[in-house]
Amino acid sequence: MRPAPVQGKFLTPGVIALILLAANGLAVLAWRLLFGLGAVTNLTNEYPWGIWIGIDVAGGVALAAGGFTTAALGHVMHRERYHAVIRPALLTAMLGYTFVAIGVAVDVGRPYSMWHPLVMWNGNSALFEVGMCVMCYLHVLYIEFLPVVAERFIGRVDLPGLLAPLNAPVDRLLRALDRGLAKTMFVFIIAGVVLSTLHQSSLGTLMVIAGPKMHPLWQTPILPLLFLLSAISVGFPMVIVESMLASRSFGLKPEMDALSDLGRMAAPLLGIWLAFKLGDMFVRETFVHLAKLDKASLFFMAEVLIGIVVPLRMFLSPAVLESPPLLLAASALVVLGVALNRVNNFIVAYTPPFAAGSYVPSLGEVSVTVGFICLLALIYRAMVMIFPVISLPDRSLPVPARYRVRG
Amino acid sequence: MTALLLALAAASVAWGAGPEARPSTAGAAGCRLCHTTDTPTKKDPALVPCPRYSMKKRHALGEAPETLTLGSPGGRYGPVRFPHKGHAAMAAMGEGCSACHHYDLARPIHGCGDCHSSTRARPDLDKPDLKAARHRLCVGCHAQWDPDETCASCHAGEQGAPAARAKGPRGASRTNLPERVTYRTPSAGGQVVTFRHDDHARRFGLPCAGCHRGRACRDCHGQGAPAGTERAAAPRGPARPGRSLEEAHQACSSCHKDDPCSRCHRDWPKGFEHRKTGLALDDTHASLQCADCHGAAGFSAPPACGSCHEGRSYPKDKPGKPVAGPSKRR
Amino acid sequence: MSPSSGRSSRRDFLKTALAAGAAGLAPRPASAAPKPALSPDRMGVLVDTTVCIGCRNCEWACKTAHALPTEPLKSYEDKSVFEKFRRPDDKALTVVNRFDAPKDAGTPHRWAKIQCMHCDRPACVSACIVGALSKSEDGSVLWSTRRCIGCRYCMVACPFQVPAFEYHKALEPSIRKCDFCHDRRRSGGLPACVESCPVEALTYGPREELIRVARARTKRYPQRYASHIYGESEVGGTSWLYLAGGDFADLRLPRLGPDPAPGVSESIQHGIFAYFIPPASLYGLLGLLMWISKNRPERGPHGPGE
Repeated sequence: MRPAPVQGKFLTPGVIALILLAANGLAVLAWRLLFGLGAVTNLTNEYPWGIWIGIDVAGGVALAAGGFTTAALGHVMHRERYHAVIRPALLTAMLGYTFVAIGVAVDVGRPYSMWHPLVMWNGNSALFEVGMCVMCYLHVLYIEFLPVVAERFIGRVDLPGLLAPLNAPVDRLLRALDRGLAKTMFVFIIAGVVLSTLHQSSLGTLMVIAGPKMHPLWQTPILPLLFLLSAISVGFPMVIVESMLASRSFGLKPEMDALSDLGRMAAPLLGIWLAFKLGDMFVRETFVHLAKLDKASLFFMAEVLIGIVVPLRMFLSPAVLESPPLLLAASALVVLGVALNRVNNFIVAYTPPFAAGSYVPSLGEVSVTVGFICLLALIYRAMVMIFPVISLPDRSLPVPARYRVRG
Repeated sequence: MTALLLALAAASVAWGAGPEARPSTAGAAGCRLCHTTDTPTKKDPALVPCPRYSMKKRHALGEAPETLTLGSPGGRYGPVRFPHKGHAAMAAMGEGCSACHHYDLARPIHGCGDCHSSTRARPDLDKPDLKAARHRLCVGCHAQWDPDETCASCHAGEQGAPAARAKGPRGASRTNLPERVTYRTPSAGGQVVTFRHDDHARRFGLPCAGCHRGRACRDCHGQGAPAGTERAAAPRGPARPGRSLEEAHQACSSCHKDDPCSRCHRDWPKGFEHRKTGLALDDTHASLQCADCHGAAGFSAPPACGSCHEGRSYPKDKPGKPVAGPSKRR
Repeated sequence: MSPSSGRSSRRDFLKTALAAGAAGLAPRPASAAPKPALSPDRMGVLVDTTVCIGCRNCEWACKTAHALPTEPLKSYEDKSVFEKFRRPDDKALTVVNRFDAPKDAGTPHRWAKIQCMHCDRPACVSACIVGALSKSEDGSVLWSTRRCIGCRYCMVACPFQVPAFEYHKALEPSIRKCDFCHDRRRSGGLPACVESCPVEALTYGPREELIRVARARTKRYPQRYASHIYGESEVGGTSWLYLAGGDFADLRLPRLGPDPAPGVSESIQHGIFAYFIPPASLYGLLGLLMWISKNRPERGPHGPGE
């Protein structure tokens, strides 16, 4: 089997629904750009950050962790059998981070000043570190994806109309890039893993400075470690979910061999995360807050039970690992759990000392978030139909012999 | 710590650290004012007993200037016409001059500006500046009884409008002075005593401080002050425990020196014992009716002897024996 | 690197960076996190809540000094605003709230003005992604519109919940907070609120001197004052200090410890980076792992080109 562009019709009823939701989100976004954040969001001076940060940015970064975990597994550890899932994970990460960047850009009050951190540095700021790492990593992801573009277009560059004379130079450029990257890709792959490790953890540092404004169930000096561990934990489950959904959407058979093994690895990773999370809870004796059964404690328990404990138990069962629907369910729980963890950390745990009310996202905020997710899915679908991302069954070829890894 | 206290003591005597803060009228405050030696040391400051307490002196109301105009020309608000004498008269009922002129009990009296700096940007932050010192004194009392006071109550307004209070003295209008006060006394007879407050205060022009002592502003002003013209509901009277009859009646008796009790205790009841007035009637007179001697003139006039006795008159001749104890005016 | 260099925290950060570079690989304890160069002469304001009369002249003066729209001063006599607890926002950089006075205080109410506390170790300055906030040597924590990108991380970070954002502006929305009348002070004036206070409940002066004055007051009138000076030690000290007649929590000043708000996050941040030693080590480790796990280590990480 080898990666190839998926054949088929782009428009299906489901896709049309996605387009409508995406269009709705973009319309609300235009409103925000014209009339300011206050016109669309429920953000206040008490609650300066909402779901655009909690879900679009923090959740997005966490769920794009499949990119660096599979890169580490497939390229750094050279586990060749997982190569089939690397490209889809890479594409997800690339699109995910692109939307993280867009998400940040629409959430900040002055999107046109987004370039400021490039020249105005504050080394003390966790956000500065996150921003710089995300920006670098986004470029690394694009570079890692370049060989896929080259593979698709080398010898097949066919620009329309007036641009036709450029065909030959573009072809030469692609070949040069491909050759150059073939020798240097390892630099970028390792850089990608390092950058991910850094900003996944720094994303946790972000909320440490909120100090007592953050509920003690979540506020801990080891937040960066917990964020990193959770990002590593959610990497493989996210790849499973996305691979399964793509297979289903295109009527392909799921890659159960590789996916089962990924699922097997998810269990210990989840275990480590859970151990640190509970250990931290007992060291700081924050379990007392669980007994209150208020909003915070319920969200915390939901995050731990649904997102860690239940899927951990499922991943330990061979029956689950062999069954596509159960494996999907377990992985989806982890994905949900980590997403919930990010929402909890950035929104639920945030309890300002002088709050007149509590934050509930507005319809506009939800529209934009849903619109971004739909847009991401649409672009993913279009990309896998244009570029050789998803590996199609090709029984005549053994896996490593024909397949060349680039990214 | 000790140094701080010393500094405070010195500052309170020397009226501030800087020479410009020293009042021109105070004269030189030498070391000897506080120390018994010219070379006090930290260990042995050789302090005389704090002069503040021995310098205490009462100032007559007549010394007080009538009206002061306060305020700086550049201020957002116009000046304040401060009825100083009115406040001094009120202070006389309470803490006295020292209510405002704190640390300032010796002659001559200092104005606020003698110690308090007229500029807010200053190195010495221990004392409030002049504006603050004045405001604190005024607002500290005024806010107690009227939370709705505004700047314009005292200041001429921003556009040169006169202050709400500039129309004239407002003391009476704002104090709800009672027309009369009805006291219910524990006296065996003549329990009800009606005091005509407006007669005393206005017609006779008696100074408030003549009767009222040790009162807080709130006792007369604002919501804590007695409302209406009659104070009948809450029995108030001289019968506070631990006071002698003289003390209890001092406020009245200081003027009403020779008045009999019935001057105030009008409804004298049956079973009256004349000896309580200081004169035990002899048997002959004791059998008479009150009106036989006191007649139509009432009990405040001297009794008439002439209807029975030729050439006799009270108090030269007495219808009985003076007795010890309660003074004659009882 | 930014062209602006007058910012003490930044300069100090660089200084510390050089020092740490010289110190080599030694792990950096939390206390070694860069400290802003705090001038011993930095100014502050002592808010004596036992003196405040709730006239709200400071609110009016602040708005006037900062060209914010305001009703005429006369309207500030309306006491009904006190029925609601208010916070500073983008339209009012300082507000006065009314509270019940402690028992036997003589008056039924106490008032407390709130505004930016101008921390000595400000969380917002540490948090700001572009260094738009800075602690200046005269004590004020200043915001620069030239740098700000509107991310509102300063609002998340502030332990006093002070910075406010202009949510209804599409272009150039600003972070608004008290600037300690930086410009007025630089030209020799007083902060507008201090100047307008009729009773000098706000005393402006060098922070050290204010602490001395405040301590003298609490010692001299122990019945009138709680002995604590709020802001002397809270979150590492603030330029604005408060005196109260009772518990500061009754004035809804948040109970905060003496540790600077940015302390933990900065030590984590500098621990993770420690001048790129951990990331570089991780990079090397992964490279080594990649090299070892190759079948034929003499080749590059990838197969031969097409």
